[in-house]
Amino acid sequence: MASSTIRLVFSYEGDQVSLESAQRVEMLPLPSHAVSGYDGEAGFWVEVRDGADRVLHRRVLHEPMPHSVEVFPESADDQFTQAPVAEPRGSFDVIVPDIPGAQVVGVFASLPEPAPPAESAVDAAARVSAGRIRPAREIARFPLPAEDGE
Amino acid sequence: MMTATDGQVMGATQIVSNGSPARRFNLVLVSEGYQAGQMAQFATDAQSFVDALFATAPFTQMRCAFNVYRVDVTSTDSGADDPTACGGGGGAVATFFDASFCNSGIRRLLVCDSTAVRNVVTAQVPQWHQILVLVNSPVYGGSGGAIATFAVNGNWQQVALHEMGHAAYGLADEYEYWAGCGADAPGTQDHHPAGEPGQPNVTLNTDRATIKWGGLIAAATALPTMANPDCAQCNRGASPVPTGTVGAFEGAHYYHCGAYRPEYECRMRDIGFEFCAVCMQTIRKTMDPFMDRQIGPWVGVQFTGVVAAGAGRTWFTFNWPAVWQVVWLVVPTTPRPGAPQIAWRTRVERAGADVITYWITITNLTPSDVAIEARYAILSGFGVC
Ligand SMILES: [Zn+2]
Repeated sequence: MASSTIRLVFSYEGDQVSLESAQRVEMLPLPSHAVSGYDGEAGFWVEVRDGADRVLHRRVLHEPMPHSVEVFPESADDQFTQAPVAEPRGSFDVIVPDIPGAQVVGVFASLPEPAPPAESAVDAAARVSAGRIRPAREIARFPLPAEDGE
Repeated sequence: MMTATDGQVMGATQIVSNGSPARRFNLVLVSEGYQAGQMAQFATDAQSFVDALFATAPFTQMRCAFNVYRVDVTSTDSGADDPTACGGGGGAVATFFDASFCNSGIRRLLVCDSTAVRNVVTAQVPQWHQILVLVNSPVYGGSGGAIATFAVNGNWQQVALHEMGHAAYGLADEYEYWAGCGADAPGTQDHHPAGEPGQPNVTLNTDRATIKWGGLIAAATALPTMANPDCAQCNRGASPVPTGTVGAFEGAHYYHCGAYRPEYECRMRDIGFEFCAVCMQTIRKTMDPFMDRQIGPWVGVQFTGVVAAGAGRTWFTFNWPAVWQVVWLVVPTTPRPGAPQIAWRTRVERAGADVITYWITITNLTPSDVAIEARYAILSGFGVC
């Protein structure tokens, strides 16, 4: 039988993230990544937690709040490159399973320090590039919508 | 909800169909900068991505995990804005999702109104997992992210596969520079700082017992497999091991040293190559729930008819996949209380290596005609790709 999921739409500006919507959808979620053994890791993930703060589901994402962008190679001999974004803002989606007992979704991210005024391009590159590998910290936590009545 | 007015949402068309979207990975391709008269070109462009996807390992083996939809959106004008500030032609065109080059001052950085894209797609295909926006422009460019955007020219399909690696499968970049090999300011990308990346395809760890892709490393392969002799530069020496060897190759995740990638080459490093074994394994694990080995039960009526009084009659149904677990049930639909009306038997023919013919013979046990229906239950569905 089809599983129910919750589609979470987040928006962000700098390192501030907001939950814009949470909608139940009959579809399959992507499977969970490991729910333990990742202390100190860098990157970005969301965790679905229960009332006792146990992690029920975790999904690692590749930089959904990027402070740099990947510029495409024009030919197969060409390289991908990265370039800093002056004012990071945008939105992203995460589909999480609708697990009984799930209460909150936590957003964990490695993010660079805020840009100082009049930063050089070299300094921006170093700051953004180093920021993405700091140990991730919880930057926001949102309640999940109450279960539908059965 | 339609914030844009420079065109029209025509609707969604499913171009790869593998059953209920509640069970599949649903990929949506959306048009931008195609005029009404160019929608046939969009259909061709969308199909070209589908063809590239299923020609790329490991997707070659997982076609049945996907539903692919095309969402046809027309634009008043063709193309995308191409500001002169980045050396573009200065074209400012009226398109549905307002796609423009020259974001962050980079001409190739082509971005559209991703909120509008999300709203249109969610209305058309609510169960979407990944959206790719195809922009009808001869200027090269695009951008990654949750809703990735590509100008449809050059090798865009190959770049789109790399971006799907990020957006759908959480894969990291395996290249070892930031602004470009030799283009980074001296010292900035030499040594990967401490902090194990959360992504599955890059690591700081070269310990055979604990490296995250250790299961794919042969005992005879040295770790690290290839070190970078000069951390001030990209590691561009020849591979010391045969192509396809999984190990730990220094130079990954934007740094020359201290971070390792699983193979010498990978699509997450360079679009001219296939995904490495670790990236493929990650994609397979992610797609596994969508492969539908245990769908079902899936029920229906295969045929109906009348069996004459006291007679027998045989139907057959052919070309059913041999992997399906099928149960047949025949029931009378003509009421006649008091005694059994029919008996049936199922005979089975292996008509080919992968297909089965079922022969259903129904005997009418009564002195009157009886109408029947033959029902099936497929306990496990597709099972193969
Ligand atoms: Zn790889």
